[in-house]
Amino acid sequence: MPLPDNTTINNNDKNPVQRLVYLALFTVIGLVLFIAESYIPRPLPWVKPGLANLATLLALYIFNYRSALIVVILRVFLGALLLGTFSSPAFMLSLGGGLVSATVMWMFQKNTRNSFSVIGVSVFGSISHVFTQLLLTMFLLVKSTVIIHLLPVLLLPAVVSGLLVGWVTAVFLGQLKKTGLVRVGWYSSMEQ
Amino acid sequence: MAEWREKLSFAPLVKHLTIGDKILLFFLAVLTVTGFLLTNTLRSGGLFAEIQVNGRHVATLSLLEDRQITVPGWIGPVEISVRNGKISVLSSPCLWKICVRSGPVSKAGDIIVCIPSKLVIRIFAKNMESLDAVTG
Repeated sequence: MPLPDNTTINNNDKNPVQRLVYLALFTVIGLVLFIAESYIPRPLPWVKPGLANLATLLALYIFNYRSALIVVILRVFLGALLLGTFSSPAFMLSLGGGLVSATVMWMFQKNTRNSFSVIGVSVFGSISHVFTQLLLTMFLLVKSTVIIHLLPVLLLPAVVSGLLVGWVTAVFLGQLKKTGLVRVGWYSSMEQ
Repeated sequence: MAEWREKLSFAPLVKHLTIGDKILLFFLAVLTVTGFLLTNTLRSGGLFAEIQVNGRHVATLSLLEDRQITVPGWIGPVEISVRNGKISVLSSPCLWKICVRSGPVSKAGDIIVCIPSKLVIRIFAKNMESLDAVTG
């Protein structure tokens, strides 16, 4: 069944229970990925795959911006409680990065008339995440501009991981759409 | 034969991409490469080299003046020289001589390590020190 272009279907009024259940599932998906990736050994302490962005993207594409924010905030708080980083700089960075990247992804998904697929939106999300964290580190923790030199080192993994996470999300959304359980808006150029 | 190639290809990924995505990715690739090139040239030559043996600070040398010193390593003396703003290990009693083959290094952040001697040479510029705050 073809859907009108660039619509994010909002089932809030029709079926709040469905939305509640799906948001709980997305939060858990994000939480599990968030905790699992914290155990992956990293080449640099700042480079992280950012797999939890999958959950945010799902909430954004299946429901709306508000749902994505709910998923991000719940995931960050629960993840910090489970990992024991609550109220540490790491918590502050992941909250700031999560909120800003969700906002940027929403803006690019909503206002660009389908110029970017979910993969492009995911890349925007991971770049904005990196930028936010770098700026927060610069102004709150290190208070020196030297770390701007890290930008290219951080940008490359951000783009690659954004690409891969976006791809997984595209496949996920395709499968979810096939089941017919939820209505999914336009998400990639395979859609026509 | 061609089957594994089909499985490994990124065609399923590319199929999703819109024109906007491709432009974005191209732009980012260019940005990253130029960023790498820029920071590599901007990265200032290090001003100091810190020498540690077994985690203990042994000496800090300025790279501006040429000199040659011998440091007591874990398994014997290690000869270190500073020439033309670059530091190198001349000789070491270790087996593989990886420290000697690391060659002369000069950029801030570069390190030479000799595991048998438990020796670490780390180059830093005064303004690069703040980076340790993030790592720690």
